Amino acid sequence: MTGIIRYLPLIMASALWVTIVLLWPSNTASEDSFIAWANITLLIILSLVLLNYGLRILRERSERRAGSMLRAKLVIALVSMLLIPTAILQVAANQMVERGMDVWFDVQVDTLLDQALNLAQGFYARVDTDLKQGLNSAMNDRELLNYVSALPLSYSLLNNHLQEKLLHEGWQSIQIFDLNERLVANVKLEGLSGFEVEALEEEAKSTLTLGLISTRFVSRDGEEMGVGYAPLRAHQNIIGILRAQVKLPESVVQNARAVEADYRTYRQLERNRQSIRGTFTHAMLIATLLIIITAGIVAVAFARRLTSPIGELANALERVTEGDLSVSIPTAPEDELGSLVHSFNRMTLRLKQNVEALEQTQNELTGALDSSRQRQYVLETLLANLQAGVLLIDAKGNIRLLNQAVRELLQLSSDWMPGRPIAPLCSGRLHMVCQFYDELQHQQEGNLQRELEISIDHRNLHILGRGVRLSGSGSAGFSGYLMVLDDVSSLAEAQRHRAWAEVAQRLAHEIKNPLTPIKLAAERLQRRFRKTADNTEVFDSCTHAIITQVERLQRLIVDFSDLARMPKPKPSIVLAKELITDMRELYSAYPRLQVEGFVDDVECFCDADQIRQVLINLMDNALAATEATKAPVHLYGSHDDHMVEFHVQDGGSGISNDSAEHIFDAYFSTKEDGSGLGLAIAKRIAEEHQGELLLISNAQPTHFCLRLPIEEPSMEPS
Amino acid sequence: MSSFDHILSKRTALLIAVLVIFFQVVPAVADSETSPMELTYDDKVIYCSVGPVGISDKAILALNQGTPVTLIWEISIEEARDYWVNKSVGEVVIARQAIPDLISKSLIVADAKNGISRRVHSIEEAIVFLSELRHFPVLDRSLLTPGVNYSVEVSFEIKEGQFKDTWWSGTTRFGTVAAEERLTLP
Repeated sequence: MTGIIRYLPLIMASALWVTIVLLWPSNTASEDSFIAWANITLLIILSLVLLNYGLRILRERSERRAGSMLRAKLVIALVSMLLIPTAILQVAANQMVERGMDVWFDVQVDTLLDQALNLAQGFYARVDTDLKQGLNSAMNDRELLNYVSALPLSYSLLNNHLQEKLLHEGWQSIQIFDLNERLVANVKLEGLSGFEVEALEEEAKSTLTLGLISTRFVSRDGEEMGVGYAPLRAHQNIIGILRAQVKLPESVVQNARAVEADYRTYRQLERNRQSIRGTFTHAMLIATLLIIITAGIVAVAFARRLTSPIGELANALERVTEGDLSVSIPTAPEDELGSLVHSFNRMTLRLKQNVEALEQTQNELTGALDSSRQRQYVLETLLANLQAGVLLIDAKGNIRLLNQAVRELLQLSSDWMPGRPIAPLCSGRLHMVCQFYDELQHQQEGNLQRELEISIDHRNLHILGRGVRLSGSGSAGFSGYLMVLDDVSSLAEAQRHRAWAEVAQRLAHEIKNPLTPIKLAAERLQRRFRKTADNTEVFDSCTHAIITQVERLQRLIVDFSDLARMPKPKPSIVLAKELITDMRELYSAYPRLQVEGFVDDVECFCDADQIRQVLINLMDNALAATEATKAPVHLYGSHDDHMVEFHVQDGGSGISNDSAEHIFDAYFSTKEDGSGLGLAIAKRIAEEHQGELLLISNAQPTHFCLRLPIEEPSMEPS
Repeated sequence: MSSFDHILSKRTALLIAVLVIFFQVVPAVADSETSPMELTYDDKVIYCSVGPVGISDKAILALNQGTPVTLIWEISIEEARDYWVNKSVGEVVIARQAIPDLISKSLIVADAKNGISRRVHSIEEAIVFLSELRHFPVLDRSLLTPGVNYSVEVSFEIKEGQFKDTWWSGTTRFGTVAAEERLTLP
């Protein structure tokens, strides 16, 4: 619909051009040419205005000037509202004129007028005929001719005769002129009133020349008269001229002239019947065009006045849409549109205030968010760099947060992630974590501290678990449980070491002192009382047993002492392959030992004696384990950028899983005569070198790995 | 600028003016049929003889039906110029009319400008009176320069009704050119 309205002015302009072509005036119709051309001019102006308006609407289609479409609709609606009834009125009026003209120019009227005119013409013709007959009678009147031709003239006789003639013919006056056009006699019905004489007319001269009677009708002082001239002859010669005048009856003349005037008017109208119709049509059309143009101007002004605030509103709304809230419409009419404008101004003002408030809040929130993000960053960095594992669980039992340390500490799988419930994940070796969590949930106090022992990768980890119940309030609060897990294995082991070292020292001190006298006493008994003994065999067996066990106890005491008084390593730069070489030479007697040295001259930072002790311990254990099966033992080295590794593999029966978990514990041994301190001491030496001793595989092959730093590590204060 | 002023822009006004001029010019040059014209002169006066021009059947019918017919002659004398519009020297308007008298079956033919009239008893006489100019004094010879080319144009217009000399009658007259002639005095 809008599209049609957009093109409506152009359509109307085209229709007007068609109308212009149809109404183009013909050359013959000159009577109403002015009004016709005026119409054409108005139509052209109107069509040009419409053309211009239509083109402007199309041009504004892309620019979309606010309110233009509404204005166009209003103008078109107002003009159309007037155009339709005006056009209908014009058609109706044309029809009425058409019918009226058929009535006006009726055949009966035509005939009647013809007859009336004929009647008037007949009357005048009759007067003319009578006048001519009278003149003919006069010109043949012997008595009159005698009076005129007699010399000298007898004016009294002549006048008397003319007076009789005047009365007889009913004329108004009779004058007689001689050949020199001098008045000879003059007789008037009303008597002579003056001496002035009318000059002879052209007809009189022709009468004198041709000798014929001539008549004419003249109009004089509002009266019509028949004037006739007749020649007066004497002896075939014209001796004078007689002029007679007869007055036509005034009433008859008036009626005859009225008939003539009506006839003339009627015929003129009849001749101009088509042009009358055209004139009426053009007059109506010009009125219609003037009305339409006036209505168009009024409509444009009205639409402009009406749509101007709407256009301003639309422009202002567009600016508001684009984000300009400072817009305000300064002027507004005192009507509903004005109220709308005022409401719009209030709305934009409130919007502006709200936006400013929002911006202020946003700034505050942004600041808070930045602060929160900073805190979160600090917290995340702290958690990421925290050695202790942190596990945050919400009130529903779902994991909310866990740091990398807890993943590494507990070797957590990828299932442990925020949002997952913790209960299904706590299975197997991690059930202690769930126990701790359950206990934390169900206890009355807000915090809990427990030491957990968890076996991971054949190692028993001593973990200090500390839990706190978090009870937040409000929407920003958080309810849940925070668990902090610290690996205290080293600390526990150190404490255990310290305890055992103290025990060992005391034990060694208490046991070592009597062992030597016991051994000496047993040897003395053997030396002095062997010969006196009843049963030498039993005696030897017993004393030997005492001496053997005492020696064993002494070795045990030495190990205890070593464990208790492990000297501090004195590290230096050592070629790793020398340590391998030492082992190859030391155990050269064992053909099943396969040794592979380092390809490079890689160095390690260690106390060579203590490392040799560790390697010897590992080699002894491997050789002992393969003593029965003679399975090969493999010693080799490797390294990376930071660590040197010494690997000892054997194909022995291996270590059970249960034993593997305690293999590095002090006093744990799988051998009958083992003290259970060898691997514990070896591990301690490795750790004091900032390295580690690992059980890579507990069977097939049994694989230990000693890792030592290549460069001097930064010693942390113990 | 108001919307009405905007609508009637200069461009639109120019177009309207061109159209109006076009309408004015086209009828004037459409009829190129002319009658013979003779220019004579004596020591003092320039005379013009032209016609007869064709009187339309409509005008004859009007005379027969009692309607006066006026034939307006317009004789214009211009100094012919080659590179500019001609310069007007003088213009003579002659209005001849025939007034039928249906009752007496005669016609009064008259020169509407000077009032001289006479009665004729046939339409043919009236038509001759209307349609011809014979030895009609047009211009004082002293107004013309010997050796200069002048253009004499005679146009006429037939109107029904009696002649009414108004100030605007000249502006609404769209005559038909009857004859054109060049005049150069020795």
